[in-house]
Amino acid sequence: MRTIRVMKHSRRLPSMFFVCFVCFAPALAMPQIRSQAPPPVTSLFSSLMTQGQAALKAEDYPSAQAALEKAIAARPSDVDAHYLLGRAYGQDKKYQFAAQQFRETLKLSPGHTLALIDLATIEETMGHFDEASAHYRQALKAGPNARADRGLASLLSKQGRQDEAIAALGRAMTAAPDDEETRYQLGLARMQKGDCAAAIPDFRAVLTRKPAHLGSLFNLGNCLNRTGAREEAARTLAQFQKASQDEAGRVGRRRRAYFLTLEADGKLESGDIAGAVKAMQEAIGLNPEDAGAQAMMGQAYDAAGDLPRALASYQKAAQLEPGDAMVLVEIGRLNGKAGRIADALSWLQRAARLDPLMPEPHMLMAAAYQQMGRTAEAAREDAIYRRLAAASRQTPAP
Amino acid sequence: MRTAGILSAIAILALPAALVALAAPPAPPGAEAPRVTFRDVTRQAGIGFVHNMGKSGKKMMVETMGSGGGFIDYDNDGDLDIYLVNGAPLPGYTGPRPLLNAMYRNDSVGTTLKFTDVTASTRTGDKGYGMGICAGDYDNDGLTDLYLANFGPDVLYHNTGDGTFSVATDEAGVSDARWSTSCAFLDYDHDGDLDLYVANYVDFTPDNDKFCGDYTHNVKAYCHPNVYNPQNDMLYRNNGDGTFTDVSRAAGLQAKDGNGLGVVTGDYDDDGDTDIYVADDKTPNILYRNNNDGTFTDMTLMSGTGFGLNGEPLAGMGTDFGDYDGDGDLDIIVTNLDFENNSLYRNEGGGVFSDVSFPSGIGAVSLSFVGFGAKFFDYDNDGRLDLAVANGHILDNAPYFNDATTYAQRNFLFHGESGGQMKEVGLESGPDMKVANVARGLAVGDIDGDGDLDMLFTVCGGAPRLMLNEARGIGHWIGLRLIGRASNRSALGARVRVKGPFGIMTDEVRSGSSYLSQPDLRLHFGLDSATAAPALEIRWPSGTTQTIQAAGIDRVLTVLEGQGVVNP
Repeated sequence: MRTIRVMKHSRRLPSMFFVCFVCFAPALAMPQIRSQAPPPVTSLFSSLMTQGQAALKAEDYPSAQAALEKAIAARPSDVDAHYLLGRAYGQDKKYQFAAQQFRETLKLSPGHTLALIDLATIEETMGHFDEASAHYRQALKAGPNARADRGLASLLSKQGRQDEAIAALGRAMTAAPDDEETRYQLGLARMQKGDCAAAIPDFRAVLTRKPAHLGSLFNLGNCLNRTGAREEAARTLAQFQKASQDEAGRVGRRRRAYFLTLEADGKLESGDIAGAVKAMQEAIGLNPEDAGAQAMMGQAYDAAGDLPRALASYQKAAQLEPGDAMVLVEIGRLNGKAGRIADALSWLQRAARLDPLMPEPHMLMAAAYQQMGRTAEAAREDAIYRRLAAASRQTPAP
Repeated sequence: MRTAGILSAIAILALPAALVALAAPPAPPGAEAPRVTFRDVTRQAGIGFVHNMGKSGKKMMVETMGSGGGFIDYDNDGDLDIYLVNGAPLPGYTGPRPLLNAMYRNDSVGTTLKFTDVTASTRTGDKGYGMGICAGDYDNDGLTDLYLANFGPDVLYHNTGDGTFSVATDEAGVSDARWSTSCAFLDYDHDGDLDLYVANYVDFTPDNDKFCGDYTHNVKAYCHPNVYNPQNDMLYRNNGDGTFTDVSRAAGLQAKDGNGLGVVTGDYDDDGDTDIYVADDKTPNILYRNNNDGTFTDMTLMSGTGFGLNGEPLAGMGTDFGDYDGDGDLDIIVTNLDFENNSLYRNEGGGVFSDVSFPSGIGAVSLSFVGFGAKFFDYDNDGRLDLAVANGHILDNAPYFNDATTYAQRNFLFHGESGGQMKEVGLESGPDMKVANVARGLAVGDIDGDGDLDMLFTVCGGAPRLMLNEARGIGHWIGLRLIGRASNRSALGARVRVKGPFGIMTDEVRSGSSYLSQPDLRLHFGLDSATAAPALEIRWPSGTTQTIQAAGIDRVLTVLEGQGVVNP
């Protein structure tokens, strides 16, 4: 979803700002004042990292990728940025890009345990078992690690070496007795060996802590069925089915909302504002907690001239994702458009603090100050805007 | 009509018997394991067909799903002809027209393969956007008819017996304008005529095409199926008068929709009726148990065959039933997407299956491949079922999204080993098996009548690949052509048990299966070094059981229901 908005912003901002200048009635020529020192890269980097981590936590992987790519552009040698970007790609199933970032991480920090394990997991997913095994083993050199043990056992299991897998997972369980994923893998290995009786307690143990664990519900049901406990199997599998359908419904709603957002984007592009509003209303109905969709809704309402609803949508987007400076800019702009210049300034200042290298808040602040008659501040912001805009043009997009 | 058909069927068996004489002698006991190679003989055999996706660059979803093909004996001369399904122009397409399906008649002499394009004379060049094919004698006249599952209206070709087919779709009432994929004839109600199952995929049309892929950089890719709505499948009951009735709902098959791609029929619970398994793409696969009262029960959940190992719906493409472990019941193979494993579900009895994809050895190797067609068969006649899988990515720009993968991929050949193990030997099976292709359909049959099974891969946007089995010194075998009398004429659903080198071998006559494809309707059993003619037990769809002592081996026997071998 975020991908659209990142694209959309870059594509639509010129027209947006055209509207904005009219609304704020800025001075055509502003006095030049001495430029401020450029904002420190550190604060931008920190801001982007914060954004990236928040998006990663919120499972908004495209946003996380966008923020972390910018973070790496700002500080190419930062180990954490490369690692987190690898995670963002990996969670988004863009395995190739994820592996590349984990390798970058390992170049900068050769013993980075998490990168080794995540790289191994991706290699395992892609069927590159030898490489995966080497990386899991390398991670274990740093000390006991349940994830690496589990990964190695999973590799063994996938190679049909169930006894070895069970032994490895048993060791991992000893090291981390409360690790549900290890317990689940142990159950899987036992089940694949044909020992459902041994696997059942493992799946039950996982479900005690995670009652909706799909794999455990599914395999517990199957094992109960195989061991003759048909009634309990039926109950467990019914639970599994419900959980599975709930998950499919959730994913389906998100997917449908995504395509409605694309549709709205196309309609906005072609001038079908009413169509865009309708599509986005439907998208929001399906997935109201999506910050990107709320922002797009705001854009559609704005294009339709419905300022209050546009503002409400952008504010909802800001609530859902406080780290998106562009949304704050939009709120500022719309407040300005509504004549609430002080409010506009407040939002624009927040945006500028959040992303000190973003030119747009300064342009709008210049217009706002100008409108308020505070020409010196207007000139200062205009100068900052020009400098950042020039720098932005010189910086290739990450 | 039936009598004439039987007589003509009996009369055609001279040619395979003659060809048998050309087969290489079996290896002596204790000899080194034979090495089987497959050679691509498509062009050499005179097959010039090239599949056309009808694409325009807009990456419409249907383009990449490919089309199937099959081995059929349409002219009842005892050898296998080939039918190949083609795409059709999609909006914006500017390439050559018309795009037609093709029929190739087998005119081989001895071991010299020769196929002649008889599309025009047989009137089988359907112009619809073709997906799947299945074969069966729906009117019990002794001639094999064809059903084409299309993206758009489906087509029923009635074999007239004079070397032509007529379109019988509308009068039969089996046209479905949705996106159909695989199909299978079966006699689910045991009334002696063939009914029809048709899988439907999703509600994509060129008018509701969506942008999938990398929107930011405007790189379009073929869509995930769940971008569209799943469809319900169709079951048509044969009314016995050339017409069919849609009984999908009455039979209990429309309780849920799915993204159906592969269909296989078989009696998984060995209760004497034909069950149905559907491979669905990112919705749960479905196992329908035949209740033997005209209805089916969805056994997906309790059987454990609907999901991957972690309870997630996988991208089911092709599927087949086969007793790979020789325990007398039918197991299931399903091919899936890359980063998923192909699934092998072992039948544990009692209606329960276990996922043995990884322990069996088929799972790990498939993780970086996209599988479509799948077929169990015994390519080296050693008495154990082997497995072939057609591979090829769905994204023609796959490396843009993952540079570790490719659009074209090599196919798999798994050799069945002891202990239920399957060993992938594709790279050791001749240079042509190493060639990467964008394979979709897969059918098997003995195209040159030499006693070993050959393969036909259909290729999305390319020439098919007829892979000739060039085994030398492999085991003995026996082939069976079953002709029903009380049962349906094609004997679909007949279960045969043969004592083999490792125990009892079990197989059934079936229409369709794999992915969009039709295998030879005859059964083939490898006998390894056995020299004595085996006893055969046939359970006909009518419910009668017939035990036959074969008069010889290394030949195709024709067995008439209730009568016995008619070509001793």
